[in-house]
Amino acid sequence: MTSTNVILNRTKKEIKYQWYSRIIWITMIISISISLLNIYGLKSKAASSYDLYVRTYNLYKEEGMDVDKMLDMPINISGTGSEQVVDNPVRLRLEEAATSINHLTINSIVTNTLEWMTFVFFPLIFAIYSIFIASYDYKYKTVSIKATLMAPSQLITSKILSIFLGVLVVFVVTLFSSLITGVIFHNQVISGIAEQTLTRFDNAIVPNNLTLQILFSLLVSLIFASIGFFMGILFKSALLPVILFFVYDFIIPVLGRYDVRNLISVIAHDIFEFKGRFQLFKPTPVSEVTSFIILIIVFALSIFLSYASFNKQSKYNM
Amino acid sequence: MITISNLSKDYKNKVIFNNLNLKIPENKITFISGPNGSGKSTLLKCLLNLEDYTGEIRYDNCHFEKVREDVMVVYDNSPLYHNLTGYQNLELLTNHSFKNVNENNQDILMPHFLKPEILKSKVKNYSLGQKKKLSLMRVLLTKPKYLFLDEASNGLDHEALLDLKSLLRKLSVDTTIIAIGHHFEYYTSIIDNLILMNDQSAIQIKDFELQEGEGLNDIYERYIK
Repeated sequence: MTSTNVILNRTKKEIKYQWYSRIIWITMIISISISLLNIYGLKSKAASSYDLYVRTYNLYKEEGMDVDKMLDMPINISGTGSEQVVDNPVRLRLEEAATSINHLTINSIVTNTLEWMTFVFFPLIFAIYSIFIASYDYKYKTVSIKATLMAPSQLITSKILSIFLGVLVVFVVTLFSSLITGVIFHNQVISGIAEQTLTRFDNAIVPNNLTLQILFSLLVSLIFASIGFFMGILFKSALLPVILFFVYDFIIPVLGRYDVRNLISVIAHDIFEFKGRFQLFKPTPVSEVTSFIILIIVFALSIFLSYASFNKQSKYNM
Repeated sequence: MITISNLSKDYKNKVIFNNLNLKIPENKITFISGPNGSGKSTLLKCLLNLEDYTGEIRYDNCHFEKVREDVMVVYDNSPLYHNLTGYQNLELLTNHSFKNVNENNQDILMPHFLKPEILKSKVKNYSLGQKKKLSLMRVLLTKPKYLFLDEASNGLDHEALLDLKSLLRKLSVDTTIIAIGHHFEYYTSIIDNLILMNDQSAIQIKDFELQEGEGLNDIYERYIK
């Protein structure tokens, strides 16, 4: 068997392990659940925004105002901060409802899902997933068997390939299920809206850079997957790397301009508009090119160090 | 034949063995024994390329990498995926794919090895002996050219021990078998070649003949002491 065939054969078996042990299912269910939570939040927001519009519309109508004319008139806002005065609240509520409902359209649901998942949940999910894939052979001491079946580099390559494939599958399935759910929720919300009102919802959010957004989200997912993988190989167990990752992600503040989180934020603010439920922190300025190069270096270094660490470790009765 | 030439290994400043020269004959059963700490496990690690060493180990004049696919090993601690079934372990811990394991391998899976209903259950429910049997099944099913057994007989019941003994004899027709351990009585009747390790070196005893009433342990006593 050639080296490539060995790697492909072993990658297939790594994927089978993920299937048999249900790691891939658990990862997928967690990812989809978190994403659907966002979609449900968007639906609730859309429904309540529309409800607020209807109540505002009826209130002004009961007061004898020509609300239909108000809907055609522009909005003027005077004052600043909490002292703002809106001269056309009916139109304002309509636009807010339209924006909220449009977040559930096919055009913007993928962007919304990516904004929600890419900066907290995908990194966490994929880092932990990779830590488990990296460390399960240490846990069961099966490294000593695998190290005789294949060369160390083949073992690491097959694990990395299976992780990348797993990340891609979970990523695509999460986006797809969010898209389907978003469309269903959108139809549910608009089913109760009069046709005449719907025609006023033509200010749909047209997402920019959707391809770039998807590619960037995938890159962020792969970066954290490779960091998680390296940590799993280095510590030869899952518990400590998972704790370390939680501490880094949730407790330690951004450590400066060259912290991976800051670099991701720099590029993210160029690609995403964050009009949905998730707002990413404003980064300390670094040029986009520098950020991108450093992120690629982190990605490559994590993979290289995984090979180097594994080569140095004893594979016998670990 | 496995040829070991000028093999030396040390951990930091502790020499495990120095300039070992051994020839492990092809399609024979070789038993490697020696006191604790004599370097048996280290020699196994070197033979399986799990450790760096100085010197040379050749498998039929080839480097280990060339024959890796033909090498299988059973470890004393029987590493297996406890969260998976026996069948899933057989599938994942080899480079082969098996279909109808029990039906297609009647000659290998002796009567006292694991039955299909046991292979369908998760390994975490197995006894120590059942885990050892599964580890043996894993290597036997692949019919390797080189088979390493690290204390493989530990934990097996009487019937399985008899099965294994007869199977090893059968396999040795076209498999080079290297067994490591202290279970002299068990191997006495089947081994062709004996290697005793002690004091950073090894003695190879070929074609030894046992006197009446004599066992491998008597040879061990004679050479080691």
